Amino acid sequence: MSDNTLSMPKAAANPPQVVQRSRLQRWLGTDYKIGWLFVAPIVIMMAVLIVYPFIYAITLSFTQTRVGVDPIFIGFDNYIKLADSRIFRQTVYNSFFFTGVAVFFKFVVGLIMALLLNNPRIRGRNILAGVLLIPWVTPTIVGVLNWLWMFDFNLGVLNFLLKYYDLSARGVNWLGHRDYAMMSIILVNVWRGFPFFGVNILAAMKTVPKDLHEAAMIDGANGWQRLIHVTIPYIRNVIFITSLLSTIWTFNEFLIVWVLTRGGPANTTQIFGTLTYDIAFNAQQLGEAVTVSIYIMPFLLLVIFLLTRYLRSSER
Amino acid sequence: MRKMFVVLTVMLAAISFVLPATAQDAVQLDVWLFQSFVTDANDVLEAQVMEWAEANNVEVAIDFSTFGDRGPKYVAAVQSGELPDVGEIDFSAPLRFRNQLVDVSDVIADVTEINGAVISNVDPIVSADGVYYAVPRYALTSAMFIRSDIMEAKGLEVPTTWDEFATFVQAINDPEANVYGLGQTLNRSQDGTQFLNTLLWSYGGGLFDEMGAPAATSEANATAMAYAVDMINEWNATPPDVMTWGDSTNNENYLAGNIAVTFNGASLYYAMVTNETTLEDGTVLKDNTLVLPWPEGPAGRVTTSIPYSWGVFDNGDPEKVELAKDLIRYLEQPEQFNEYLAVSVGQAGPVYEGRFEEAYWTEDPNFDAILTSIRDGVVLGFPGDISLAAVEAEGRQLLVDAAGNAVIGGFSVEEALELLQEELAGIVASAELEAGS
Repeated sequence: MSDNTLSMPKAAANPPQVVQRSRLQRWLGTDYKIGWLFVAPIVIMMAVLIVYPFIYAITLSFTQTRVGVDPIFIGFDNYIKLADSRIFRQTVYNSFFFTGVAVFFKFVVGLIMALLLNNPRIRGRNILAGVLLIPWVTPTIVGVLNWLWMFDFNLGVLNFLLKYYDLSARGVNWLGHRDYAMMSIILVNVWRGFPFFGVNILAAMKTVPKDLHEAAMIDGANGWQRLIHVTIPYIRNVIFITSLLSTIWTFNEFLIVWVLTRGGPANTTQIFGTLTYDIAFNAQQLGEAVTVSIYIMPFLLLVIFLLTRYLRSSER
Repeated sequence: MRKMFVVLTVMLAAISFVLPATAQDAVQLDVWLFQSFVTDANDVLEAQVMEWAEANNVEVAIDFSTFGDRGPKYVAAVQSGELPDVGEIDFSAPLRFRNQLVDVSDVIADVTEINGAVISNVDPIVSADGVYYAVPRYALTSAMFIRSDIMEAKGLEVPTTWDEFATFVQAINDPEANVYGLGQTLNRSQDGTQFLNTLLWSYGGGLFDEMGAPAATSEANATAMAYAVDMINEWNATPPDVMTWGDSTNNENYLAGNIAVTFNGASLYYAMVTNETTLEDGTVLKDNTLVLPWPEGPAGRVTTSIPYSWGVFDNGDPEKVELAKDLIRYLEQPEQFNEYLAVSVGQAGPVYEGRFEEAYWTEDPNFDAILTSIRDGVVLGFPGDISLAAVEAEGRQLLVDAAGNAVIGGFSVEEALELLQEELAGIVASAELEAGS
């Protein structure tokens, strides 16, 4: 080693007591130790309420587990069995159809509600807002039982009105016809869920700058054109997020269908929630029931992924 | 002042220490009861349980659950291990929850000594290989209800076979007067399943054969199912919304005078007797109702037996097990049971030979049909034994789904039965896997 070799500066040769931190520690920040303490409650809560049940459910889906009997490992048999089942395939179709149509109409009716409540020319908007929010604030079971009565073939008000106004001689078999039954549960779901869209869209509409509308009016845009080209583009994030949330909730619907049709007649209104319940509590096959739920998961994860991504992008 | 505070504190501490100790002297027993439509009977049973508890220094926590809530509640209890000490259980529980139930053969010995033997069609439901897993209490059965005033006005006679029944229902049908001939659903419900099972069996069919193998596609089943489908689609004698009905809808329609014939349990009779139901035109329903046995098919007359029993659950405390058994012995004494029977209006059908002889059953001619139906009763799995596969098929409502497919789903009867056969094969395979493990 030559004498010309650059000698280490004294400070470097004998460095001060600097704590050497790993890349991870640097990324976590100087207060990472105390950070663990702060995030611990939520980590524990997620582990207990989400991670453990999720892993348990996955494990259960690989077993034949009759209630009260030890599980038997059967590999992918539950998945194969369900894929082969006509009832399950019908349930998949029903669930997507129910969700798609219901969310679309909830958006349309919610948009109309928001437009009405945002229109200063309409009198009594406060009262109207109260009335339109009734489906949302009423306990679901109360509302659905009322619908059950209204759909009744003999005693229901819907058939009474149809007959009274000579629109139908005998009335409509709302819950007993394969097509009308699906239509009826969608109708009740839309009734129950449109105020959520209405409230969110209304709140978003209030944020649309007036000058945008004024500029459009100067350019000759009519009300419809302003809605399509100004309002909706401006509030599209809210519409998207509301739609995604509603999609998740509608996909997980149970009560409305269970009270009105129990998935019948002949499984024409069977959806994931009701089929899972049927298999778990009536057939008492827990492994198979949980497999139904796991089948929905990829779709719901996609929706949740989109939702989270959108929420984070709107934060930025 | 300070001294007084200390004294009071010590006294309060002493009281709070003594009080729980006193309460702990009494053993706590969780009792699950069925909240039946017959509310008077519920009250009697509750009072008897409390009476026994007081006499035996036992603290009893009674939990009533309705017909529909009972199943899910037991499922949750079994899975979580939070079982009652004793409870009323349905016909499938002695088989399904065998691992959780305690051997009650000793109680059966005592109860049958007083009440006579367990009737032959109930015995296999509560026992296996000589061991009893439940103590039968009563049988809910169903019978045919006919409006006698309409029948007489039309000059008709009581139908005794399914062929006569078809003619009868169409003849009594009068939709213009808003009285449909028949109120019988094939929708997802216990009523629908019970009707179809009964029909299939009386035609010599059934979902399973004598060995427990799936037998949905038999000729007898095809004939019986075609009959059921015609009943809805061809006779024009049922209300148009009958495929939406649940277990209580036929009751409501009969009590409203909208239907002339239906099949139901004694709860319907209880309702019209207790409420003294009178129709708009002044017709007293009870006086114009005949309760009759089910019609016969080519293979005879068969009904579904739905016995309810007591089950004692193993919670790891032998003292509680013995107390639970003692409670059952007490409730099944003639004095207690007859008090319950007296307010049940035919709901508590006999499950012991001796109880058929009770004077109560001669008080009303309509009770004859209830006794006949109980005697004719068979269990799920017939003509074979009750099995896990048969119980699961019932739980999944496969039979009514098959009927629904044929009535409104666009399937032919044969296609619907083929599909049913496939589903049954899957269930049997699962049950065999479990049995072999």
